[in-house]
Amino acid sequence: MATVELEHISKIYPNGTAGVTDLSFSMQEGEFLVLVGPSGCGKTTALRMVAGLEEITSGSLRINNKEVNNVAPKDRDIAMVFQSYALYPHMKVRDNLAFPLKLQKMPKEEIEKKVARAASILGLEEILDRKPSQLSGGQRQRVAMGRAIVREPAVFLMDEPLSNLDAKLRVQMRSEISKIQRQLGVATLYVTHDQVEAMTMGDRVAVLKNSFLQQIDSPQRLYDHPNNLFVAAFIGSPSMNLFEGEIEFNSTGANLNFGNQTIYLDNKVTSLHPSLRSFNQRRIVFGIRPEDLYDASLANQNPNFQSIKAKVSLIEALGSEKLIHFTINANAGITDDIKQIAEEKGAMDSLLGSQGNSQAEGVARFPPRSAVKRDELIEILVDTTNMHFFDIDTGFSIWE
Amino acid sequence: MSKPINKILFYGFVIAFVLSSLFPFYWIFITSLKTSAEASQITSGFWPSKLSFSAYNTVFTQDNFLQPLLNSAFVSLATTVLSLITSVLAAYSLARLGIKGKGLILGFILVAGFFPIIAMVGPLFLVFRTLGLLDSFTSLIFTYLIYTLPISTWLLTNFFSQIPKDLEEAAMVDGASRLQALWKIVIPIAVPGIFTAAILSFILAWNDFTFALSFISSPSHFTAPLAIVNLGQSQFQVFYNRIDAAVVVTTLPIALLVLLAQKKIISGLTAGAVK
Ligand SMILES: Nc1ncnc2c1ncn2[C@@H]1O[C@H](COP(=O)(O)OP(=O)(O)OP(=O)(O)O)[C@@H](O)[C@H]1O
Ligand SMILES: [Mg+2]
Repeated sequence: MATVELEHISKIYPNGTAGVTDLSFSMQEGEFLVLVGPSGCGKTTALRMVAGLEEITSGSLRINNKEVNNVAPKDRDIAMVFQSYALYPHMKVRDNLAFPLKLQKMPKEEIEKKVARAASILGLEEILDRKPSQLSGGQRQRVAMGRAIVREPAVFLMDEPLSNLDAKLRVQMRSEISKIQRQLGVATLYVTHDQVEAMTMGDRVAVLKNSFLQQIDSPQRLYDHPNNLFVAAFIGSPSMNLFEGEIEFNSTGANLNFGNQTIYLDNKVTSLHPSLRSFNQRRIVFGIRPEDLYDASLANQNPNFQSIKAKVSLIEALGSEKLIHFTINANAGITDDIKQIAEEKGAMDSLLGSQGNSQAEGVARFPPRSAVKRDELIEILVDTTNMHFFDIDTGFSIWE
Repeated sequence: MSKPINKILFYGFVIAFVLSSLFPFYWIFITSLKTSAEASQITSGFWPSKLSFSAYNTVFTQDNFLQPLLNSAFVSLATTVLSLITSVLAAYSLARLGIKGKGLILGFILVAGFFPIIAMVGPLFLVFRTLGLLDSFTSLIFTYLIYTLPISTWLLTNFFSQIPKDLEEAAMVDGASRLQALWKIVIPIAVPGIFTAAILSFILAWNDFTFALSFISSPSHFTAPLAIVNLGQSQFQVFYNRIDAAVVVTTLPIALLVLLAQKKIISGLTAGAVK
C-alpha cells in the first residue's frame, strides 16, 4: 500500500516561477525516499506541498489513499523536521515535544509516556527541562527529530535536517536517523542537496533538476544506470569523468576516438549498449567512473581493459586510496547541466580551464601503493564494460 | 576620551545634565512633603523644614483624588486592551498574509499616529457632540485609540515580521490552526513587543490632558491630569503641596509599571528557535 502518492504534481509560484513540474512518484510503507538535486531544483517546494504549506497548482496528492490537496497541514497526519529546526523558543524541550500531542487533546499521562519514550530514543532525557537557547546545535537537531516522532505520523518530512551540523556530527546523525526510521517503520520523505547523504540514507533516491524529476531509483541503480548526463554527473564523488568522442563501428566492435587516442570497444561491450550502433560515425559523450580507471603498472591485463595516456596534474593521497587528477587530450563533455553541477561541487575552475583548448580533466581512483607522480605521462587502463554513453544532444543515456 | 581632562569634562557635563533634568521632579516631590504654609513661601528651602504627609491626606480626603485616579485607570486600561487586541490581529495580518500595498499601509499608519493632537480636538468635539458622547469615557477611549492603534500596529508588525515563519509552519504541521499558532507560538514569543505596545498605549492614555479637558465636563468623570489642574485652588491661595502630592501619586504607578515591565522587555527572546 502506498503511503504518499504524487500524481502529476506541479507548482507555479505567483511570480511565474516553476517550483516543481509534473512530479509523480509513490512512496511505499516504511520507505525512505530522498529528494536530491542542486540548489533551486524544487526539493523544498515538493516537500512543502506534501506538508500542505504550499498550495498545489495542479495534480493530485494522496496520503494513505485519501486525496489531501485541500486538506490543512494539521489534518494530514504528517510530521516535519525543518532545516532551521523551528523549535519553540519559549517552551522547554519537554513542552516542545509535548506540543503536537497537547493539540490532539491527549490525556496527560499518555503525553508524558510518549514524550519519555521519544526522549529515550533520541537521548534527550538530560535536557528535557532546558530551553532551546540552552542547547547545542546537535541537541536542537535531536529535539526537532523528537518532536516529529512523538506524533507517530503516517509520514515524516525532513528538509535538509543535517545541513546546519558540522561534518562529523552530520555523519553520525545520518546513520542515527536511518536507524530510527527503520525502527519506527514510518515512511520518510527526505530532502537534501548532498548526494552522499542521499545515497547512504535512501531506499530510493529521486533526482530533480530545474523543477523536473530526472530519475527515481535505488542508489545503486542510479549509480550504475544513470538515465542521463545530469544524473551521471550529479551522483558519485568524485564525479564521473565525461569526455566527447566519436564512435566508429567495424566488423569486430567499435572504435571510440577522442583527441588523438582511441578506445577499442569489442562486440561484448557494444552489445551491452545495442542502440549505440545508431550513433555510428557521430559524436557522443562517454563517461567513466574514477574507480573504473586502473593504474597500468599495477593492474592485471584483462581483455576488457583498454589503455589510454594521460598527464598527472595533481595527486590527492587519502590514505586508503589516491585520487589522481589528470589531463587528457580530448574535449570535456560539458553541457549546461554539467556546469551547474560543477559549480555546486566547487569544481568550476578546473572545468572551465579545460573548455575550448581540447584539454579535458579527469580523476582516477588508484590504490595507495600506486607510484605515479605529478606531471608524469602515465598509462591508464579503462574498464570498457563499465563505460557509459550519452547522446550529446539530448543528454540521454544510450542503453537499449 | 583618552585624556583625563576630557573624561572630567564628559562626566561633568553628564552629571549637570542629569541633575538639571531631575531637579523639577525633586522639587515636586519635596514640595508634596511640605506643609501648605511652607510650600507657599517664596523662599521655600530645598528640604522641608518639617516632613508632613498632610498634603497626601488632604488630596485623598478633602479633594477626593481617588475618583479621578480610578477614572484614569479605567480609561487607560480599556484603551490598552482594545488597542492590543486590534493591533495584534492587524499587525499579524500585515506581517504574514502577503497583503498588497503593505508598505503603503504601514506608512499611512505611521503618519496617522503622528497627527497633531490639537488639530484633532475640534473635529472630534463636533463628532462626539453629534453622537451624544461628550463627557463620557467612551469619547476618551475612542480618541486615544486613534493614537495608540497606529503606533502599536506599526511596532507589532515589525516585531512579528522578525519571528521566523518556520515556527508557525511547524506549529501548523504539529496540528495547530492558524489562530492557535498565533496564540500559542507567535504571541508568547512577541511578548516583549506586546509589552512595549501596551506600555506606550497606557502612558499615552494616562498622560492625556488636552482631550480630557475638551470632552469631559462633570468632575465625577475627571481623569487624573484634569483633576490636578482643578485641585488645590481656593479663592485666596494655591496649595502647591496638594497639587504636587497629586502629581506624585499620578506619576508613581506609571514609573513602577515601566520599571516592572522592563524585565519583560528583553530582546533576543527568540534565541535558540532556529539554527
Ligand atoms: N515563494 C516563492 N516564490 C517564488 N518562487 C519561489 C518561491 N519559493 C521558491 N521559489 C523558486 O522555486 C524554485 C524551487 O525552489 P526550492 O526552494 O524548492 O528549491 P530547493 O531545491 O529547495 O533549493 P535549495 O537546495 O536551495 O533549498 C526556485 O527557482 C526558487 O527560486
Ligand atoms: Mg530547499
